[in-house]
Amino acid sequence: MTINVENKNVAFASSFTTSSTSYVDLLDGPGGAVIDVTIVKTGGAADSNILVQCGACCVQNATTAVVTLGIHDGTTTFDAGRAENYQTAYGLILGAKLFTGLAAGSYTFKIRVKLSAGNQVNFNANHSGFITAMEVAA
Amino acid sequence: MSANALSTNAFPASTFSTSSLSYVDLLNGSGGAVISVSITKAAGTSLLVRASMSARQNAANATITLGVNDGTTDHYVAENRNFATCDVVLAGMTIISGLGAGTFTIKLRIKLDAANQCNFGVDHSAALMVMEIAP
Repeated sequence: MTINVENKNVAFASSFTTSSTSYVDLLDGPGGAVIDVTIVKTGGAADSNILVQCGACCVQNATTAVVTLGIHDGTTTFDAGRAENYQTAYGLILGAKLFTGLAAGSYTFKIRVKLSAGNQVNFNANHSGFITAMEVAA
Repeated sequence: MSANALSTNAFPASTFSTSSLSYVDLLNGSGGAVISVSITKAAGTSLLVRASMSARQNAANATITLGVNDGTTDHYVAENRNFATCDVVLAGMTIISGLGAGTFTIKLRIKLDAANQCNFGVDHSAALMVMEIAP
C-alpha cells in the first residue's frame, strides 16, 4: 500500500522578517521563494481529503507576542497553528489542517504567517520550515 | 491509494489551566470541548497519532507531558522541561496497536509535574491527527 504524499523542507538562506498583523507569504529569505507544496489529488470530493501539516522555527522579537502560521489553499488562508513566547525567544510553531470536499485535481498549499501587534518575527539562516500534503481517505 | 485519516485543530478562546499530576483531558479553553477525533478502523490495523500543542509553563524547572487517550488507555507522546516560566511547544507521534475493528475516539491529554501549572490559552493552539496504518 502506498500513500500520496508531497513534502518540502526549507533551510532559510537568510533572514526573512515581518511584523505584519495580517497574513503574508512565508519566504525562504528576503525576496525568496514561497514555501509551498503541490499535490495531485486522485480521489473525488467524496472519496478523499488532503491533510496538510506545516511548521517553522524562528525568533520572536517581543515579549508575550504571538506568531500564527496559516495554510493557503490557493483561495483562502486558514489558521493552522500559533504559539506565544513569554519573552524574546526562539520559537517553534506547528500546524495542521484537514481540507475536505476538494475535487480531484492539482492543489498548491503554501505557508503564510502573521504576528500580534508590536511583534516581529525573524526566520533566520539557522532556522527551517516544512510543509507536507497527504491525500487521505474521506 | 489513500489512508484513512482525520485531523482537528484547536484555537482556544479562553484559557484552560491545570496543575494535575495525572492525565486530564486538554480542553479547548475554560469549560471547552475535548480536543478529539473519532476514527473507524478495521481489524488488524494500528493507529498512527500525531499530536502537538503550544502552552505556557508557569513554573521553573517544570515539565508538561502530552499524551493521547484511546478510550481506555493513555499513551505518552512528548514532554518538555523548562528552565524558567516560558511558552513551549510539545509535539510527537505514537502508534496505538492492539485495537479491534470499530470506532475509536482519540483525545489529547496532559499532565504536569509537582508545582507546575499549564495554561493553554488564546495565544496557543493544538493539533491532532490520527491515521489507520498497517499493523
